[in-house]
Amino acid sequence: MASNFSYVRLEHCPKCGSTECENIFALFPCRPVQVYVRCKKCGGFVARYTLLRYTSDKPYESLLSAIRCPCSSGRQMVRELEAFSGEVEADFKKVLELLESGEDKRKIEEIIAERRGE
Amino acid sequence: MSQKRNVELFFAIVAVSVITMFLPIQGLSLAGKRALGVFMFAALCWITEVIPIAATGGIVVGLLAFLLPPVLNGVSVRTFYAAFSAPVIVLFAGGYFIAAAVQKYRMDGIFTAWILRRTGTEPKMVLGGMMFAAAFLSMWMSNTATTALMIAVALPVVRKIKDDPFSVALLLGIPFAANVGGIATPIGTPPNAIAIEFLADAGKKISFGQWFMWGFPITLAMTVIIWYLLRIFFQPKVKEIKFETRDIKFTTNHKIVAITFAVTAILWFTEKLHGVSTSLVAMLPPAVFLITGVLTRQDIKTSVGWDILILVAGGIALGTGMKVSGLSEWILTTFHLKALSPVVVILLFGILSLALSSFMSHTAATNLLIPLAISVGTSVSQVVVMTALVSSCAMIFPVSTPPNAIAYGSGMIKSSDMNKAGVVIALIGFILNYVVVQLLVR
Repeated sequence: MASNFSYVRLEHCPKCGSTECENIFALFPCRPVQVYVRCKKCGGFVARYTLLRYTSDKPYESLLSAIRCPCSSGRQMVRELEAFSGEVEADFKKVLELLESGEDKRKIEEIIAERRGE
Repeated sequence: MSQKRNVELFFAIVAVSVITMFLPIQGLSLAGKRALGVFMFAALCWITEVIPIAATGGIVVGLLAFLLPPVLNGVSVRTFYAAFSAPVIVLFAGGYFIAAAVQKYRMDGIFTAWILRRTGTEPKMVLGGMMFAAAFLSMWMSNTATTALMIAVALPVVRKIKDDPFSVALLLGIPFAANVGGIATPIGTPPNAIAIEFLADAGKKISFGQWFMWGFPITLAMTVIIWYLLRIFFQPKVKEIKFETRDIKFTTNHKIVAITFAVTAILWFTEKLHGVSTSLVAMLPPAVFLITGVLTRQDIKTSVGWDILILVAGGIALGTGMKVSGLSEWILTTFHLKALSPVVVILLFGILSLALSSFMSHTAATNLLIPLAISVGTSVSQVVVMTALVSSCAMIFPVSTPPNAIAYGSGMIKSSDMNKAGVVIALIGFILNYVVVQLLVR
């Protein structure tokens, strides 16, 4: 939900401090999809994410690939589809607004650790 | 609906249900009144979907376990909790494990690609291939997951021909075929399982193979009819349609899934030969997949329809509650259902099932109707099977089934297109089901 966002943080290279990063998708057998982040300036390792769900600029397609569980209600499915398409766009707008108003300066792992407690 | 309206509606439903329990109804015992109150609660919650339908299923089990044992001798909370371990719940769970493994290793995609490579590029053949693949997969997997996969495959092509009426045929053919595909097997769609459980409870055991003998001809005939109708309604302008399919390498895990699936299906179909019940056989896939690591804890969490199992259990418990409380018997005598001819009763329940399933979950609709159908007394098997089968033919609106909703969510088909094709298909499906029920079900 968009209202749950309270802070945002740009990815910074721990070595050179650059915010120019590249996402490299890695698909190894029998392992979840992982994204390795490389600094575009110095080429150093920035971070690794384990992917839970991927949403592209075409949310409908993203949702189709994410539907794995059976669903028994057409109305529920309609609600989910409507919410999903609107949600991605609204969330992205909110993120940009937050970034504009100033990012959180703490380390990303600190922010994530704090979020876990919520 | 706003959250405030939802809360108000929920409390209104609770109030109506509680009042029902205290109405001075002649001939109905205290236990019967309580069961009627729970039935009202379930019916109103499932129709309005004011709370998730699976939550209603869970609450129904809890309410019956709380309200009935104190006023009924020989009935305990176990009577209702048993719904969670009913043979069809185990059977369905086994089916979900197979579906989870098939999806995880993209074997559904391999099968679809295999079919599409053989259909050629002629539009009508491509539509037929897509529909056949959807119908076949949804015999074993959930209709929702099948539709999501198939639409994802079809979408790039549909986008290319979006101004061609045939794009609508492709987008409608997939959910419609997935809906009717579920009819063929006991694990195809929850209403089948609900019908089998209630008939077993009434002493009429239906084997996997027996259900297949009723359901498969309907699936096959309906798929062909829908294919033909869609070609007439949405005639193609394009001369050829090409799908890009990719080969997926078969690994050891793929082999484990394929062999387990094949062995399980063979054992399901040959129950009469070896005597091992279908629900017991259904424990094979979870055992194999978990021992070999084919499925992980995360897969089980995300791919098994736990909420649907709770929903089905709610329906089973509701039927038990109505039976042990005497509510079923009361309905039977009060509404003179025994006096009606079997044909009228079959048609009546068929119409109710089609009407309710058109705008509410067909699982919830059969959860409400089958406990009533089972108490009719005459031609029980035919009435129950008709109720279950017809519910899968309700596909008039986007909200009628999750597959319809997925197709509609693409934004590339109009509701009127779905209504037009859906009404004709529902009517043909109704007649076809009636004929099959009259000819084959005893």
